[in-house]
Amino acid sequence: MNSYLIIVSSILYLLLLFGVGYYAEIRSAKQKSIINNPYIYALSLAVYCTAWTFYGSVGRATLTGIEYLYIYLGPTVMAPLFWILLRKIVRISKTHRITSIADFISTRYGKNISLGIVVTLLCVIGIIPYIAIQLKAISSSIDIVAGNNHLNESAYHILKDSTLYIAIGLSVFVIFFGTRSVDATEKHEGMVAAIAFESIVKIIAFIIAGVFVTYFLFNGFGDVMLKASKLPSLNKLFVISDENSYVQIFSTMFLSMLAVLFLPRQFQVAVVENVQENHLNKAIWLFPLYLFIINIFVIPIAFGGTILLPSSINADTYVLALPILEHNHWITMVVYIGGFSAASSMIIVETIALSTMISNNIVMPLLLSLASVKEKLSNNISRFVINSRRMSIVVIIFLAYLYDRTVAEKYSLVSIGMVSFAAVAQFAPSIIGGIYWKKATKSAALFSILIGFLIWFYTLAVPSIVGAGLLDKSLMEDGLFHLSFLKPNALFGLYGFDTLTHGFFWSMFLNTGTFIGISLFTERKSQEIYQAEMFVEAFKHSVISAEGSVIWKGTAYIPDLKTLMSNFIGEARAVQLLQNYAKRRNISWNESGKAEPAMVNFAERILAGSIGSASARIMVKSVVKEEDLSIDEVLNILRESQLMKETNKELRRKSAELSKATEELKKANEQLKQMDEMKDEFLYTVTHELRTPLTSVRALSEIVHDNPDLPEEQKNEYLSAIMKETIRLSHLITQVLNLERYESGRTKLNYSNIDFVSLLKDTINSANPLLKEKKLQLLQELSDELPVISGDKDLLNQVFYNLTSNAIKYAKKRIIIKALTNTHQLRISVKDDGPGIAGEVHELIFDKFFQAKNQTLKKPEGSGLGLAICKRIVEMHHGKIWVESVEGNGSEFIVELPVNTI
Amino acid sequence: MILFSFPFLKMANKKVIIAGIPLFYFYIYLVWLIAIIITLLIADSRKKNEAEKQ
Repeated sequence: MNSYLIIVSSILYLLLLFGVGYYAEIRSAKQKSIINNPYIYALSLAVYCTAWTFYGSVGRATLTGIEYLYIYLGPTVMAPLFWILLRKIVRISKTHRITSIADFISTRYGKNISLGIVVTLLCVIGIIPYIAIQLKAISSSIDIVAGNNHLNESAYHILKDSTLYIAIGLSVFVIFFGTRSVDATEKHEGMVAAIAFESIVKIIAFIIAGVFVTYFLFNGFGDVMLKASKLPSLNKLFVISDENSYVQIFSTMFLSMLAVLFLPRQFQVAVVENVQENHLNKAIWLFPLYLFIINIFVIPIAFGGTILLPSSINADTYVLALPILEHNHWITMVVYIGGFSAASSMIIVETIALSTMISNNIVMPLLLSLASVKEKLSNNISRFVINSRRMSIVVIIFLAYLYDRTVAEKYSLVSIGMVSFAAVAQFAPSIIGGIYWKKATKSAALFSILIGFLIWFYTLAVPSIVGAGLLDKSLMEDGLFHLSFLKPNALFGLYGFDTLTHGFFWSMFLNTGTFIGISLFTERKSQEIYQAEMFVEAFKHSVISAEGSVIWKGTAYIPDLKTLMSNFIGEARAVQLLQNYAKRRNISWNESGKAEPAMVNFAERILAGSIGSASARIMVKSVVKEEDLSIDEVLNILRESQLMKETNKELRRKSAELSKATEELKKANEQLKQMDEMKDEFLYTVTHELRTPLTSVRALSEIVHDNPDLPEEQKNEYLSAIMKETIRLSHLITQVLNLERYESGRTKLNYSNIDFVSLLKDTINSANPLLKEKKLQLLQELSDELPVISGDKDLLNQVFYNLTSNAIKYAKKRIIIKALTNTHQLRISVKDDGPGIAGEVHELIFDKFFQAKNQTLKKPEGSGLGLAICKRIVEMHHGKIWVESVEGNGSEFIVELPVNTI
Repeated sequence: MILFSFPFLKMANKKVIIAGIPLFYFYIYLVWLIAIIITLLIADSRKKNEAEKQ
C-alpha cells in the first residue's frame, strides 16, 4: 500500500482525535461533561491495552500459548479489589488534591521532596522503554503495511521517518489537551474522551481482524485449532508442558495485578481523572469484560498466522500480515488504525502523567528551594509550571523516540512491557503499606523503593542492555566483578527461574523486607504522623477535617496567601476562593489581616493541585513564619480532632434517635385521635340504628296498650311486627358485639381442617328456602378437589352465608357460586345478576354502616355490618375479599384464602 | 483467583478437545467469564444496598 496513504490516514485519525477531544472540552465548558459517566470511565481504564496488547499478545501467544493471557487475568482478579483499594486511593487523592503517583507517595510520607524525585525518576526510567515500544509498534506497522524494508539502512533518512512525524503529532496533541490548565487535578476532559474513543476503535479493529482470520481464512475456532493441532510447534502449546511455566504464570499475573493500579497512566485515568467514586462500581466488571472481549481472537490469529505465514515474519505483526497476505486493503487499514489507536492512547496518557510528575515533583521543588530563582519566578510562576510540563512532554517523547531507534529494535513487544510492569511494582509496598499501616516511615519508603529499583535494574534492565550489545556479555556470564553469585539472572545463586520471575522475586522480596524492617526501627516526624493518620483513616477524615485540624503553628497574612495563589489561579479567583472559604467556616474576613491556620492549610491544598504537595509546602512555608511542632503536639491535635469527631457523631446519633422517637409519638397520637373519632362515629351510627327499631316497637306496643278493644287480628299483626323488630334489634346487637370482638382481637380462631366442598354445600342448603321464596336459580361451579384449609369453620361459614344471602337479596334470576384453586390460593366467588355496585364505592361497602350512612342510595336492608364482619373474618384468615362489579350488570364478591399458610 | 492457580490448571491441563477448542483454553476463558459475572453481581447488589440506605 502507498506509504503516503498511510501517513495521511494516520494524520486524519489524529485530527479526528483532536475533534473528539475538542468536542469534550466544549461540552465541559457548557457544564455538560461527557466524561462524568461510568462507561467512559471504564473505557478510559482500557488504556491498559496498548500496542502490546494489539500486536504483542499475538506474538507471545505463538511462543507460549495461553500463558500470555495472565497479563489480562491479573486485572480481572484485581478488579473486585478496586472497590477496597482503589476507592481508598481515589478518596485520599481527592482530599489532598493529588496529581500523580509520585505526588501520592511523597504526600503520604510527609510531603517529602526526595521521595517524589526518586519515584518520578524510577517511573521515567521504567516507562520510557515502554513508550518507545509503542512508537516502534507504530513505525513497524507502517513499514509492514507500506511494504518497506528497513534492512537497507542506507535508504533510511530521518526526514522520511514517519515515526518522527507521528511522535510530533502526538506531542502536539498531549500539549494541547494535557496542559490546558495549571491545576493538574482539574480533569483533562478532552484527553479522557479521546482515550475512551480510542478504546472503542482498538477493540472494534481487533474484533474485525479476529473475525476475518477465524471465519474467512478459516472455518471458525474449531478449524483453526484442528489445523494447529497438526503442527507440532503449536500442538505442544495446547497444554502447559513445563512445570516452570506455572511459576511464570503466577508472577505474570501478580505483576499485572500491581501494574493495573500503579502504572502512571493507570493512576492518571483511574485516580486523577476519576469524576465520581461510584463510577468504580461499574468499572470493576466492565473493564475485565473489555479485556475478555479483546482477547477472544488472539489465539486464533496467533495460530492462524503460524499456519499460513512463512516463519520469517515476526509474530508480533501477524495481525497485519494476515490481511496483507490476502490483499484485503480495507481490513489492513482498519487493523493499522486500531494498532495506532492502541499505541497512541498509551503514549498520550503516559506522557501527561510523567510530565506532571516531572514538573511537580522534580522541577518545581528543586527550583523553589533556590531562593534566587523563586524571586525571579514569582510573577509568572504558573506559566513556568505549564511550560515545564510542555518541555517534559517533548523530552519524554523524544527520549522514547531515541530509545526506539537504538535499543528497542532488538526486542519483542511483550518482554519490554513486562520489565516496565516490574518497575512500577516497586511502589506497591510503599503505597499499600502507606494506606493501611500508620507506622510506615519516610525512610522506609525511600530505601525500599531504591533497593527494589536497584535490583530491578540489575536483574531485569541490565540483561536487556547486555542483549542489545551495549554492555559486555561477560557481565551476564560471570557476574559483576566476576563474582558468580552476582550474576544478573541468577542472583545469590537462585537458578532455574525465568529472568522475569527471578528479578521480580528478588526485587519485591528485598523491597518489602526493607520497607517493613526500616519502618519498625525508625521514628516518624510530626508531619509524617499527621499524613499517615490522614491516609490510613481516609474514610474517617473528610475534606473539612483535612483543612481544619491544623498541625502548624505560626503567623501568616492573608495578602501573602492571596499573592501566592494568584500566581497560579489568577487574582480574582484566589480572592473568591479565600472569601468563600472564610464564609463557609465562619472566619471573619479581613483582606489585610492575619490568616487563620485553617486558611493556610486550605491555600496549601489548592496549591498542591497545581504544583504538587511538596512544592506547595515550600511555597507556603516561604510566606509563613512557622515554628515546628513537637510530635506530642501533633499527637494531641490528632487526638482532639478524633475526639471531637466522635463526640460529634455521638451527638448526631442521639439527636437522630430523639427526632425518631418524636416522630413515632406524633404518629401514635394521630392514630389515637383517629381511632377516637371512629369510635364516636361508630357509637353515633349504632345508636341511630338501634333507635329505629326501638321507635317502631314502642309505637306499636303503645297502640296495643292504649287500645284494648283492638280487633284480635290487628293486635296479632302488631305483636308479630314487634317481635320482628326485636329480633332485628338483638341481631344488630349481636353483630355489633361480634365485630367489636373481632376488631379488638379478642376472638381466637377455633381452628379445624375445613373441607370447602361440604362447607359451601351447607351454605347453599341453608340458603335454599330463601332461594325458593325469590324463585332464583343457583349455579355451582365447584372444582372437585378443593384443598383442605385449616381455619375457623363457623366464622367462614358465616362469611359465605352472608355473601350468598346478600346475593339473594339483589339477584334477579340467578346466582353463581364458584370455587377455584391453585397451589397458593383458594378462590371462592359469589356472583349475582342484580343492579351492581358503582365503582367508586367498591371499597367503601366494606365499611361499617356504609349503607346506613348512604341511605339515599338504597333502602337499608340488614344491619349494615355484614360485609364489615366478612372482611374482618377473611383478614383474620390472612385472606382478601373484594368486589368486582359494573353498575347495572350484577356484582361478584370474591374471597381469596391462602393455602397452607394458616 | 484460586481457580487460576496451579492445581486447578493442572487438572485442566490435558489434551482434550471440547467443541473444537482445547480443554485448557476452554477452562481459562470459562473461569474468566464467570469471574466477571460474579463481580457484576457483587457490584449490583452493593449498588442496591446503597440505594436502600439512602
